[in-house]
Amino acid sequence: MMFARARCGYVFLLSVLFVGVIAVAITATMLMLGWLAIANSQIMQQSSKALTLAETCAEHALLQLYEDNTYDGLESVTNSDGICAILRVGGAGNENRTVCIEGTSGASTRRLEIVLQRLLPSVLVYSWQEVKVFTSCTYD
Amino acid sequence: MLNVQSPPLCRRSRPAFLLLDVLLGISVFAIITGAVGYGILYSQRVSIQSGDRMRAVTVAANALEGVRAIRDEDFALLTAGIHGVGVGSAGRFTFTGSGMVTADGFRTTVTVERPATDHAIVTAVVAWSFGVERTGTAALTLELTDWRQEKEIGNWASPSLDGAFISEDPLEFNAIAVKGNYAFVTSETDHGGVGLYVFDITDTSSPQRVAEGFSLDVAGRQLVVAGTTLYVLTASPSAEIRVYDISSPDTLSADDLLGSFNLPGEGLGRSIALFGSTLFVTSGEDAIADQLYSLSISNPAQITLLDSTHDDGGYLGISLHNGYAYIASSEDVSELVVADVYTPSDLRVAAGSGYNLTDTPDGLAVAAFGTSALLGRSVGDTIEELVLFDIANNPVPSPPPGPWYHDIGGNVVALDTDPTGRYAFLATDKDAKQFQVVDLWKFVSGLPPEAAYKSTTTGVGRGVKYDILRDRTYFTTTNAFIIYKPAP
Repeated sequence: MMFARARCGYVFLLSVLFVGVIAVAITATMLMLGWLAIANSQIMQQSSKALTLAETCAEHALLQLYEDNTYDGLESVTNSDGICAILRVGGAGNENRTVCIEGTSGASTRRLEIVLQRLLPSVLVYSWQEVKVFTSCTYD
Repeated sequence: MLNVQSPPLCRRSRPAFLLLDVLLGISVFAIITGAVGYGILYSQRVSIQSGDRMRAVTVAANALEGVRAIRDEDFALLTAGIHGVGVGSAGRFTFTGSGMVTADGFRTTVTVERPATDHAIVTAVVAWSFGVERTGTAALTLELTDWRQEKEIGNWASPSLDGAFISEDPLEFNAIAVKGNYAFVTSETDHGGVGLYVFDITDTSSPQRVAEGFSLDVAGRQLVVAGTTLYVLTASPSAEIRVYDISSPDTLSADDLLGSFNLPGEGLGRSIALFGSTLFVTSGEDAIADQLYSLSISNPAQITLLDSTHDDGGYLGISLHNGYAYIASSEDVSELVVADVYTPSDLRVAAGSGYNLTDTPDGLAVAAFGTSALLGRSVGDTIEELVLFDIANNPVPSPPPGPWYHDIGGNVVALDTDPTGRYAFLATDKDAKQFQVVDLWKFVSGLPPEAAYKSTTTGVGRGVKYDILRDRTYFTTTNAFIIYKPAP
């Protein structure tokens, strides 16, 4: 065969290149996975910080409500990790109050929705749950 | 015949070409293999590093959970300093030493700062070092507050005078609302009253009137506070609801008026209650105007009507509880009305509608709390003016159990309860018993519930408000704003 006779060295070279393309793809995938692993750890850290921020605001709001049941929220707390916002506190008086908190760190946002059975003589929490979307509060 | 096969063209005419190709191929292969190897090693390394960081964040979050558990036990245990967090011998989280190292080598230190007695800033730092390229730290910061404390209520079976503001003129004080160190008190205006008074109650033994230049210019009836906004129900024929910014109570003035709302009818508003961004207002008896209104106060300066309902009787008092409005009514066949207000834009009478008590004296004041509703009525010869309903199983009372009755001997003009549901405080026009304390625990047990009473020479009882933060009861009469305290 004319091809085999005239260009037999290319078989090896082409084979190497073919294998090389596959290897480069694998390498790129591995690098991408590595990069994603880094991104994942950063997102997880930001997410944890966002939740901790939300819990910080929840603590702040609960103390404010305990000391003054006319407290209506609508404030935010900022620290080096990010910001948390207290939405308008639901309900009125001593019973059936709703507190909604949103903590944000970087691109991560975590939300807490807390329903209080009563405020005094001691705060009685009916439910404390993380939610994707608030159902008991609205953004003003 | 000798058959000699010709060598391939490449070997024949270009003898070094194959070697060059092979060398080139091997070189490319080596480069590719190196790149792949580096990629794999890099990927493995960053995966491990990422895993370290995720693990560290989890360890830090766990440490904060431990600190939270310590706080739940006793806020005082959050001592300032650098600690480790672990599970003690009692199976509870406790501070241990100055740091903790997990079995897989992550060292956690928790730093507690105490900027205030009821406030702690907790920072959990996790550090790891597993070689040159596997070191790092991760930190989470959480602020904790002492909201799990419990207010103690004194012995209200033996109240005593703490302080009072007494006017020489019969100003006819009405309802009370408290915000921070200030009490807002409405009044009539027929005898020189200004409609709304502000008292500094920092020292409850000596309430001081502030914002003395302020005048509502019309009688104030009831009022509620939300944040720094005060909603006053007035006798004005055209602007029954007035909204004030009370950010600076000391200097409250007409300039702090945020808005107003005109209820149908003229000056018919009788009582007011707030839930979230909805204001509920009741009106007196009227053939045309409705008796229960729900108003949106999302923008306090621009109140809008959501819904209203009509009834034959006047609605003289309101208390919100579990999505229902408990209403003291002048309707002869239903002194207690229960309305479903869960959807403020769709007010409706609850199934069962309410409760018809003996005889026709009006319901004047109501408070719903826990599993009970307490109704005060106008005086009647053959009735007992205070009625306690059980609403544990049904929002509309459906005895048995209850109701329980107690004779007051006068109009129950206003009432309030302490948040534990132990005591009820009444403002009445009964001679020598204008301020009365009722033990609700005895009431539901069928025992005589009167716990205490106080007499005043400042006129009849007109308003009452219990303040658990100070464990004080504010009481208004014709001439005075009085503060009572319990026995220790």
